[in-house]
Amino acid sequence: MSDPVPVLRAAGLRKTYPSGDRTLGVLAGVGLAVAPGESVSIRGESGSGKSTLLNLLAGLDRPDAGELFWRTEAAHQLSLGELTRRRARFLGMVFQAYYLIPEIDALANVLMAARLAGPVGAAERERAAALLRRVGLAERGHHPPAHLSGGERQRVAVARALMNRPAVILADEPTGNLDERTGDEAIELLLGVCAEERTALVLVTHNAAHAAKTARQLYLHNGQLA
Amino acid sequence: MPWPVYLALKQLFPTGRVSFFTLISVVGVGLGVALMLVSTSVMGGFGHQIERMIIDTQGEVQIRARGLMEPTPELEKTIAAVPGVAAFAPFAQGIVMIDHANHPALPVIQGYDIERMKKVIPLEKYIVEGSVDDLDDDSVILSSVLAYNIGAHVGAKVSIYTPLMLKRANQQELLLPRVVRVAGIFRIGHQQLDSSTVICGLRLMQDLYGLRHQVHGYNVRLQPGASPDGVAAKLNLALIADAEVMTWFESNADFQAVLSFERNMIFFLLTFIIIVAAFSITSSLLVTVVRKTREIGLLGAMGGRARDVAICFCLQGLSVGLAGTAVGLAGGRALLYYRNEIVHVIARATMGEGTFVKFYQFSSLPAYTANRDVVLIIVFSILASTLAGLIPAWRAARLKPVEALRSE
Repeated sequence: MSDPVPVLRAAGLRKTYPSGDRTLGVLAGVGLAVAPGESVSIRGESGSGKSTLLNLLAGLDRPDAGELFWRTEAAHQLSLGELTRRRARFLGMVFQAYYLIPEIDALANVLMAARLAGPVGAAERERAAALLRRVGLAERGHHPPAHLSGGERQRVAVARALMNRPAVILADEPTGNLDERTGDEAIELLLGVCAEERTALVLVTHNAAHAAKTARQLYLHNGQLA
Repeated sequence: MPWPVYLALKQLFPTGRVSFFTLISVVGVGLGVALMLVSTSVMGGFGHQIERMIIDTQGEVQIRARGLMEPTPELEKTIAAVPGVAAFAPFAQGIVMIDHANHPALPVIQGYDIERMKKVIPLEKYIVEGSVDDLDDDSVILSSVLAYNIGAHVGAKVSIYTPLMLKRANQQELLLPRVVRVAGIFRIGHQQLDSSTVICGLRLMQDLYGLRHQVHGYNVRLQPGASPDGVAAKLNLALIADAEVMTWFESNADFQAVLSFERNMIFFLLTFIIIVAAFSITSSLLVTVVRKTREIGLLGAMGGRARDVAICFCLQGLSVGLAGTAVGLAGGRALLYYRNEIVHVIARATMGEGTFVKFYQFSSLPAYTANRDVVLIIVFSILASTLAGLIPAWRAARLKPVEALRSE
């Protein structure tokens, strides 16, 4: 039986940006609830506010209005500093451009998530190695990002996002830089490991086929989710 | 290891290599530190050498009579009783005209009680020809340049004319010049002393100036570790008001002030090398901040605090400072170790070694590294490098993750 408390809940999220002497409304009261382990996709046209919504859900940006709950905690009432502190344990992020740190190898990139959350010991090293094995990069752990293909880099990024056993993963167009086949593999992997780890997934994508693989599909249009 | 430390080290030394930025920055700081160490050590060496020369020729402390003083047993007992005094010897000095083969000169003449002087002034170590032991009441020791200028050598006879001769001439008396033998030639390495000094026995000096048994003062050698200032103060209290007691530093205060000023100016000018190196660190780290804007955003998105991001960049400046200082100290030490070989190569390639030695009056470059200077250089270079990391660190800390991730 699933947990009745959503792992991530947003209500009435509004966000506007100044555009010259006008104000551009991007989100106009978005509501969203994600159950533990649930996968949700958000599609929408370019500039519809998908990434803005993801940034608000991640606590990277502040909404103009609305409420955000990370499990039962009112995230909208926390300072950006507090949100940063809690983000390391609560959620993982996967980006279109991977954002691996080039000076360290794949294993160290995965472990970096643990380092940001606290001291790193044998248990963390073992988990990082296990995650790399799970994403099919057991033999590539000591390769620097520059020696990895785009698909391999994104798999490292997925392993890194899962490192701290987050409650939810927010993925922003994770296949945007990959070819179709590699992109399909990356989505399969992301959905697979999230399911195994009982981690919720919010996937922002343009790709209807990828969105269809999630348990629930949403569409952002005119600042509203439908 | 906290992540800011880990990431700072990884960015400086990615996967065991030294990054180009690290190498250039470390070399920049290292060069500054090495130059500061070498120049302050060489300046310190000259200062130290001059200090040794001054102490070797007049002792650490000098008692000077206001006029003349009687070297009575009571006076000498008083001097000997002062704690810290190891030995002392009376002296008398003045100016004479000396002539050899129609080559006259007007040197300073210093008369010492030779046996007692040996315990205070190690003149024998500066003798280049002849011997102190050959000095008697009918002989003198000449400084090297003076001997060269009047063409005198050991065994030559020189004539000494004194102010006493003029005094006697006024009284219708004729006093003939004193003819003495050259018993030795000394070279101290101090231009002033080497160019125009005659050393003789105290009795000869007293005869030449008509001083009877009186002297102009005492040179005092201190026990090891005794403070010249402390002993001078005690002597001033113990002695009669007609004498003035000065340390070697006080009696050469002007000269010391010039040396100190030169040393401080060189130190000040060379600090700019490290400041320039620090600016290069700032510039490189700022470029890194701009280049890594999205990575900095990622760190924020993954839970890295702005303060820790700032620490990461500050640590890079500090690490460069530490490494550069270590490299600079090692390089500076190596340069100091091989300084004479380097100087000789430069001398041979430019003016020729002989001319160089003659012109600069030294054949080896002195060096003395004071611990205080080393500490000052270390603190300054590490501080400058760390401060150099502050501006990039502040800029990195100000980046908002959401904006950093959006940057192109």
